Amino acid sequence: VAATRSDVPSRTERRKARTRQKLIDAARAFLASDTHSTASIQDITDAADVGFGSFYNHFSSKAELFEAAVAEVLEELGQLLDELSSDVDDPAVAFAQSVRLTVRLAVARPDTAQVLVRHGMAYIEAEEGLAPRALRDIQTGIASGRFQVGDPRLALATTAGALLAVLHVSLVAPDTVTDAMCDEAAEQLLRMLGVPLDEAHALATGPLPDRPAVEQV
Amino acid sequence: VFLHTGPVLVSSTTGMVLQARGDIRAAVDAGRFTVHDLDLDLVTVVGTALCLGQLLHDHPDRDDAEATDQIAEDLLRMLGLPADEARDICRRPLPRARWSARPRRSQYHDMACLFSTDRSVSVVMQYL
Repeated sequence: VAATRSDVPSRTERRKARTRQKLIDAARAFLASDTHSTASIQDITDAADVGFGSFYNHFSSKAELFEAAVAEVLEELGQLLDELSSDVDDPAVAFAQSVRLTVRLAVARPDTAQVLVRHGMAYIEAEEGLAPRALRDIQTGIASGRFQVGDPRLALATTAGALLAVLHVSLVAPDTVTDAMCDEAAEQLLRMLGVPLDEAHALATGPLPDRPAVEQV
Repeated sequence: VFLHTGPVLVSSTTGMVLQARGDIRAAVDAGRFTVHDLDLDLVTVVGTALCLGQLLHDHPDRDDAEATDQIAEDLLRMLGLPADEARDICRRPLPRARWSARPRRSQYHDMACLFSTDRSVSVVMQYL
């Protein structure tokens, strides 16, 4: 099909989008292999198989690229957590499960955790990723009477603050953050949301769904 | 920015964190709090104060005292107090400082306000 004048911009747009995605994919590979702090922009454009100069058409700095890469990881993780809790009726179970899996994944990926801890506040008000899903779970829990918090946005800030703090500890003292500590953090948050102590403990220590799937994100 | 606020933040944070740790331990010893891991609780409390600081910074229209009281109540539940008791404690008037006509603000409120001026998790958390 011959290109018409109206095709031209969209083709350019598509090519731009592909280049951007290649850069993000490369950044995600660096994050996953924990080599993002030492990677140069040249390393990234080489891995992405795009010209060095094209980097700055899309991102103003390495940090901006890695923030975008982490945002994409969070969105994929959020979609997966949604799937894993699609047959869960109890918002407290869904919330606990998501917290436990998220902290485990972030602890297992120090580079991703590092970007989260450095720029974490920026993700709290993001429209994609984990924050809107956590807010939704908190609101569902309030509506069903499972959670007893006055202001869901404050509960979201508390949740995010607690998780970022745990991730910080996992970076500075990796040996101290065990699976049990991830569960303990979930238990604290359930208590905070108004779930009785014994129930919070049971929810935060029960069996977890498909962890290997989460590790693939 | 860190060069200017850093040292102030460090000394204030260290003091507040030490005091928070002492307060939590005392309450655990008195049988008021039910916690499994005091260090994790402390990390959580400071982390929540940080995000509250960020929230207050991003939304200056929010009533900071009200938000702080609400989160303090949530944190008391997290530390194991029954919901009604946590609510009751956080709705009590705060003691009045001798030198001021205004009611004293809670220590947690001070922490959140401090963190609303410097919101780097890494900078604050390293003093835990």
